[in-house]
Amino acid sequence: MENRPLFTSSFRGLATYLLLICLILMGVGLGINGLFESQIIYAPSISGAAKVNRMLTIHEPTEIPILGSSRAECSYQPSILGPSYYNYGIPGSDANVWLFFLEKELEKERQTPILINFDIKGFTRSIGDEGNYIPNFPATLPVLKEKANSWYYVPFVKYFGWYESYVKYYLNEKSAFTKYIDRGASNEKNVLTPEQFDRLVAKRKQTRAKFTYEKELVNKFHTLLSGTERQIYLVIAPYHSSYFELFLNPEELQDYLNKLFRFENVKVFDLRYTAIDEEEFFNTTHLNYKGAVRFSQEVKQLIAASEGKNLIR
Amino acid sequence: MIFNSSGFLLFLPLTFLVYWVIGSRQRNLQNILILLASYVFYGWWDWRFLSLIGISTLADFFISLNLSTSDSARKRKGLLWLSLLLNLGLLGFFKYYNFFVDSLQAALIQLGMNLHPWTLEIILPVGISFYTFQTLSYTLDIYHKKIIPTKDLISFAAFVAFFPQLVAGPIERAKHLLPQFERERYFDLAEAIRGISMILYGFVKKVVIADRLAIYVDSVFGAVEAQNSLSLSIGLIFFSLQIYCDFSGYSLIARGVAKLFGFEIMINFNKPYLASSITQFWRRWHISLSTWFRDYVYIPLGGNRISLPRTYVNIFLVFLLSGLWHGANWTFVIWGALHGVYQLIYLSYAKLVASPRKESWARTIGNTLLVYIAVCLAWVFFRVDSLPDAMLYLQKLGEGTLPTNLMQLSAEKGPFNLFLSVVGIGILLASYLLPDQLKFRKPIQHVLFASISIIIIITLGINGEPTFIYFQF
Repeated sequence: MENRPLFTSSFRGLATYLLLICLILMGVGLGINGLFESQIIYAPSISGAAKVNRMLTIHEPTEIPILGSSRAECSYQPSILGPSYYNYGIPGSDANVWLFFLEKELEKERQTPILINFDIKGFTRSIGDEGNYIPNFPATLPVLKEKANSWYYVPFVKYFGWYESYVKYYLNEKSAFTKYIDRGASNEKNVLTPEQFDRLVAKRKQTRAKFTYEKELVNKFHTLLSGTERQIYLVIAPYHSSYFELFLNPEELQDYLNKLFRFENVKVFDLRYTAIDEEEFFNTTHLNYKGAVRFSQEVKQLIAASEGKNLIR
Repeated sequence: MIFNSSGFLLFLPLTFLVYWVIGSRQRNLQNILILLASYVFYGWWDWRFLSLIGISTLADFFISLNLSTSDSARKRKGLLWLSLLLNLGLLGFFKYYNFFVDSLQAALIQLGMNLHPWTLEIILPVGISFYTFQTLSYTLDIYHKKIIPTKDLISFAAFVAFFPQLVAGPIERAKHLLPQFERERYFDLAEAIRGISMILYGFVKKVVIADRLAIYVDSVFGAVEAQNSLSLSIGLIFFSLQIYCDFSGYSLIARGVAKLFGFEIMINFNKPYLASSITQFWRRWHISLSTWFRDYVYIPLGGNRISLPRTYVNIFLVFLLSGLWHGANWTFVIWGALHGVYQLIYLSYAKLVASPRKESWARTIGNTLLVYIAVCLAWVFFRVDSLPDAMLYLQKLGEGTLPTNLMQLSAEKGPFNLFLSVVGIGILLASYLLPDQLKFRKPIQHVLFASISIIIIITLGINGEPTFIYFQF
């Protein structure tokens, strides 16, 4: 080994080596990035990234959006509800995300109703997979907030850790192998064994849950409601009975729902206790396909029958 | 700081640049930089525990200087004991205090005596097992007059805290690593490029393979009662590969980073699951620890120069200690004991059928498979949280039940994850076709290897919590 000062031949060699790697990565990386963005990420209707992209970039005058979390995604079948419905439910997300969607929806010049699935844990924050928001970064910065990273500006690298997720959604939609898919709605085809379901029920019975009222989120919701004349259906989809065993503050939830009467354009359908058979649940908080079909039919009838009145039951 | 964290991506190039701007003629300055960088690297996790490294460093430095100047056997022995008590005392307190108290309490309860718990809220300092063994080897080598002590405190402190291998090894020996701090180091382009290849290969092993397999493994081991024998078998195979890729990946990154700074650190893994005997397995798995126990426990206990029964007892004891080194839990003790038993069975068998005939390839494959199965069964104890969990795992594994649906087979993580896990294993097997120690003939091969590795890491890697299994030890 020779003693060479810095920035002489050895280091120039290192710089050349790194430069070559960068050039290859730029070529291959941009190719992969382009391929994913054009063919994979936005192709499946059930992927969160495609839903975010659709909400931000696509404007269909007759569309009726269904907003919410995974409970929205698995409970409402657009083909049953009507030809204009589209399910924007994002798994793992909470009120902050559907409020972001609602805000974007209300910026559009639509006059259609909006269906919001309201989780009884109330106004909490969770964004689900960050991968849902990266393709549309920085427009999604208000959702990502502190979870945003500087490398989200770098093509190819920004999807590190999320390629699998995009391909999974793509394959699921293309093959319909593991899921029932219906314009953004999705339900697992696999079912849990009775033992697995019982285990979930037992675990749920020991899990505390409560209605949370985060003022900032509630204020945002009320501001959005006040600023629109569009019809809002706020629906609470069914939960398994075990969910209510340690639900700490049902009265606070009820108080809040009652307060929504002051918004004339809001109709509340509280269907949390709707009698659903055990075999219609995927787990204690989500319906399976069979349950979703039945529930969607019920919601369709309620919407049709609810002309001009709130329905809390 | 952890290798697979964004902080390290800034830390490494910055340290590298400053280090070589200082230049090889300023060796002391380079050592000071390495020492400071190592303390920053460690302190990033919890700066308070830097004091433990400091105590260990200062104590062993001065004890060793005294050891070398003293002719009195009694004084030398006293100094050695002082070093042992200090190092093992710190390790014992932070790692084993609660374990021994809990075990004692459980034993007393069995005898009908109930005592109040004396357990303390102790945080295990990251890497304490590794650097304690490294400094101990220095003092022991000086006591046995195998090396002479350094008079350069900075070099010694940098040797103890050398950041590439500080928190998870390889456990280096003073006679190998310390002289490298005491001589000028030159930038070697070929070695630096090989170092980068090693770092990237290590990241592929960690982020693409180990972290992928961990998803299935965590799912299976997290709900053993809900699994069937097939998913438990897959879970066990996956864990065997996960821990291998996790740890050998770390060691590769450590070696690669060291190369960037002109250092050579020891090989820690050498395709262990291709071993055709359990003895061979331990010559290929965590080599730096196995050789440590051989040199500082087994040989001082008499090695193979004593009677056969004593040798066997010593071998068993070494493996028991090795198990305990891994963690303060009876599951690790049983894991070590199992490997001790495997060794004794193998050595007894080898003595019985000792023959010089050449092994057929079919026999070698059979032996390799047998060793792999034995190692996998022992991994159950390594991975579970408690002995009853291990018994449940083995019981359900033996039931021979099959999955009732795809979700049960894929351990509730989905078939795509299972598929990508198999892809990860495929990448591992394909990597075995690479030249030994990544010694590519042409520079362009390094360029291609690095580019492909980065593409694989970005597209197939898991962007999860940055950690390594062996950090807990």
